[in-house]
Amino acid sequence: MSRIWSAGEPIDVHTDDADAPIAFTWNGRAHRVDRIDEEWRVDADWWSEAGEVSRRHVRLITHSGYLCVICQDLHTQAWTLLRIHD
Amino acid sequence: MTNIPLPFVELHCHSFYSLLDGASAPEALIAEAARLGMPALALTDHDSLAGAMRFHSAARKLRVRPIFGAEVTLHDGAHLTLLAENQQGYASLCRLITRSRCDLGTRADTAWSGKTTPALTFDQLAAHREGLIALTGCNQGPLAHALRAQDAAGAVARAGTLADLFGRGQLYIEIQHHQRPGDDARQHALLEVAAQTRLPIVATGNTHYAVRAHARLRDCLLAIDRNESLDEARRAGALPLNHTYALADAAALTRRFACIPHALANTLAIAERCFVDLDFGGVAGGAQRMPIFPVPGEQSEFGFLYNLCHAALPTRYPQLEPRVLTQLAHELQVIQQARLSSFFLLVWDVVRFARERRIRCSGRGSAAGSIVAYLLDISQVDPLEHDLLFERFLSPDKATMPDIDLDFDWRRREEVIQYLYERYGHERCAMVCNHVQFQARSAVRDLGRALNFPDAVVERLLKRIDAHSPAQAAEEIDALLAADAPSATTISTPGAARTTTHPLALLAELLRHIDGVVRHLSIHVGGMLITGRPLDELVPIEPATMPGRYVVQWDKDSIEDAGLVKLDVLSLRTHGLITEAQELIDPPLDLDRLPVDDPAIYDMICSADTLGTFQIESRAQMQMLPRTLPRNLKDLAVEIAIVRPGPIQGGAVHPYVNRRLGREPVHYDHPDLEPILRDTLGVLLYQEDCLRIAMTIAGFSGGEADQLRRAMSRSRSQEAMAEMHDLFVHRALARGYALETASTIFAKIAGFAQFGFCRSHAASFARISYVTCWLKKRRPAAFYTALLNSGAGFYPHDVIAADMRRHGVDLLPLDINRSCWGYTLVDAQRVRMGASTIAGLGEAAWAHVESAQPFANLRDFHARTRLPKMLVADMIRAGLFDSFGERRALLWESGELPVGDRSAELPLQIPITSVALPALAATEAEAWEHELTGLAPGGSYVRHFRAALQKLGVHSLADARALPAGRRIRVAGIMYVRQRPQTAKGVTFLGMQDETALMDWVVKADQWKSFRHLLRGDRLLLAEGVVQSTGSAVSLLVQTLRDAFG
Repeated sequence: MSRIWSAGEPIDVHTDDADAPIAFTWNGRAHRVDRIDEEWRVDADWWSEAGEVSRRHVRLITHSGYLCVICQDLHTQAWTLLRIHD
Repeated sequence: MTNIPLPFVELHCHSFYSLLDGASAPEALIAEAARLGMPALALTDHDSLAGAMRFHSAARKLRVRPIFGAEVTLHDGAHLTLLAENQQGYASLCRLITRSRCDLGTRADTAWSGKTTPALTFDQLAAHREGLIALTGCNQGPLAHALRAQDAAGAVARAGTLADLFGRGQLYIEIQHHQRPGDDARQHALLEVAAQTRLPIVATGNTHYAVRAHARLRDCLLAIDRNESLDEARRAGALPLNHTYALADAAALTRRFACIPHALANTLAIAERCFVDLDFGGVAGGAQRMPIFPVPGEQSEFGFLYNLCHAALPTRYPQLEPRVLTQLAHELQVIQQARLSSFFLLVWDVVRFARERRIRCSGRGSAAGSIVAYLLDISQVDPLEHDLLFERFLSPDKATMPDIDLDFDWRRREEVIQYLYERYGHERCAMVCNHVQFQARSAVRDLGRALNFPDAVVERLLKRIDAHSPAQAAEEIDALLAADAPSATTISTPGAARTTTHPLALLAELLRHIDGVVRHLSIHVGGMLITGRPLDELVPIEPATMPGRYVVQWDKDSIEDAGLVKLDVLSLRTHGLITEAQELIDPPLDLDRLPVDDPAIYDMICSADTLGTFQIESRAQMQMLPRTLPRNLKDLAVEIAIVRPGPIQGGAVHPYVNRRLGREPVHYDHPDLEPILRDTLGVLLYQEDCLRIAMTIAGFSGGEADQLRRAMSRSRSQEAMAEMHDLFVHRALARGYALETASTIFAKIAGFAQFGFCRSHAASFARISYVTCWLKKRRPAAFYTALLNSGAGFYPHDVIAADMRRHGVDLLPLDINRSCWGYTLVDAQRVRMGASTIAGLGEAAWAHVESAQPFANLRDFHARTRLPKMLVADMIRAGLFDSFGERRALLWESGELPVGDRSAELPLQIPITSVALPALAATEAEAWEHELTGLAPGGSYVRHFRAALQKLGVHSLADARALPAGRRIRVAGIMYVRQRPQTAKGVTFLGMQDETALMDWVVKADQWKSFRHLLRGDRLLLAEGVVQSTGSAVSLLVQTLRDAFG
């Protein structure tokens, strides 16, 4: 089953010295990162009325086996959860 | 893995010479590479080496090793990165890019194939692989193509093919990572290919801009290339996912390629292998920069040149003075040392060809400072008589090659170009290109489209922009924003994730970035590059848009920097004018041998009666002539040189005029300047004088003075001028001059950075100018006929026709049985309008008409020409058939003429329905003529309104010109030209005319906005203002302006 949030669910993320996510908390529950599958970056829509999008996306697998895509807004540094697959 | 930054050299980097893809100048890339500590940097533009010379110069200055390469396009659209390891590799690269764009050199007939998409076959690659290092390319590379199709075996096979083609050690698997989904997988797959093929890997950044701040511009360029908005381009997947295409620092790359450090190490290893020098004028390349000129007998090229010069001495200098021989010996020695004999012979040969075929031509520019050029008939100006400086043209230590400009009769220049192609072949002869940059208006349109501005908004914006450059347009937009909404440039909501910028502020930001960016390549107006070595070993060649033409990818500055010699084969309409006038003069007269001392001609010039003459006809020149009062050819040369941005910005104009009129004493900034500036009354007017001053005050050598000259005259001169300032002041101080003196003098020299004239050029032009003035004064009918036919100058035909009438020559109307295609001379007082003036009538159609002349009536005309009825109606309205009857009746008759080709029908006289139509009013007839031909032979239509204007208290312009200065008056006229020179601080000059005279109206900067909406179309404008006059130069300082009857 998959869940997708277009606007993203706010999450707290802990990162290591290299700024790689090692754990995140969603809905009061902590999820440890088992491994990072892939990272990518998006810079777009800088010309739009809504303003520039500048984000870092991380696809990871948690210890509990979830495949998640989390995203960091590089303007505010805030993290959100975009997708979760079990 | 390591966290210590590893050294890195970017080997895959695009400048804005990857047109509408790269966003940074070669200089900006080199500067950023230097800042990042890169020891070398490669430039790999798409199928292009257009930026190579700029890259080379910038790299040399900042001590970064330049690596020349290109990302070439293969026949299947895949990209391959090629780097030149050595000179052989550079030549291979040039050949490959040439082959990818045209068939030149591979086909015997060198047939012009037109502009095509670059494409290279593997056979072509194999034929020209020497000295090249190949990288397997970006995400569009041949391996990536296969991997995208899930064809790992295919990728391995392609890598093998490339390894066989280039050889092991010459091919690297190129690894890139741009933080996109799939990049990790691609990288792993490419590493697998490398492992299987045992090929080395190398990391590259696929750089498209120097710094991240230019990323937005790149997005825009990609959208502009597709003629789409950014939204459309993004939806089409044409924009990159992110902005990670700037030159990266070593730390970031070390992180990015942490698991493959040897991919970074290999960038250095490759860089260390690559060394190419683009100085083709140096010892290595100099011997072959020019073609060997075939000389008769056993003579050497120099010997032949020597003999030609000495053979011409008795003709040019009947009274042979020792200084002639001294100067000739000096020049020949310099030419021999510089190994330029073949160049002079080449130019001599071109001039000889033109003269043999009676193609009028003249040399101009610095070549006129050479006695050798004078003796070879390249220049018509005696350098000794005019005190011209040979060193401006050529000196023993001059770093650059001489530049000879030849002007040919515009109608026949093509014959000269074809002669050069024929003599030297397409392999050694091609046109120079222009690197055309975004201009203010094109940038606003293109960026406005990208930003999805509605067309109406863009048009409205353009109406409020007067700037030429995008950066200046940005300033104007900033001013608009500040005036409209001082606090609205950035809108940010507290706590919001995003910051939005006002759309116009965003446009202004992008305009600043796009300033200087090359939009496309075009053909230079006349520059031809002719070399001894095959051209395609030196610079890539590509077909121009013009059929049959090829251009090299370098512009004139790059050619000069490479030490190559360019010949400017220019077209001059005035040569056509003089040739035609000479043919019309009876009895014939040799205008080349005309004495230049007729006082009546100078009287005419001093009274600014110069409309239509060469170089001294502009509105600004006409204002200046009554103040400078030229009385000989040298004065005329000053006049030509002084109305230029250089002298105006250098503060030279007013001092010269005042000194000329005896209003102020002649002053020199230092006594040492007196010998140099005596004949220009202490004022700096000529480039040669700048050079002489630099040599005298700062002790510059001829070569250093030439560097200064280049800095002054180049489009990219600001930085170079700053460097020259420091050197000049430093040297002057060391030679005992005061700091203030040195700075003052250099400031005046710096004013020339905006296009100062060279003395030899002015002298050469002055002679042509005098001839046109002589024709206007002594043979006016022939002059005006030729002027109207040549299209020389910048006045529209109705203004020329009015001037012609003022000089006693009538313009006869169109006549179906008397008019030719062009204007024709009837007699000494009359010129007949030509059919070429009728809009929509082509020369071929008229040739058909002319072959059937004369015609008895309209029906006869129609029966024998069968031109389309709409065109015939226009010909009637233009007055061409007035000899057959009244125009309305003729139009009625034309409506009843049979349609189409009915040549097989019987010649029956079908009666035409007769109707009584009112005769056309004179004003209506003239309005039709003006609409269709741009002029009315009867005179300016303002005369029809004179009575009404008089009731409004309006003076005619002729009357107004006779009124005293300070008088407040009311005048009316039609604008024929509008100028806002950059040097005039926002003042706008309107060239106005009525049926009596021309007059300048001056609009101050603060009034411009309220009046500009009136200055469109052929409006009759009424102005109130104050008469200003200096001598016979009269103008009106406008206070109010409106439609005369609005």
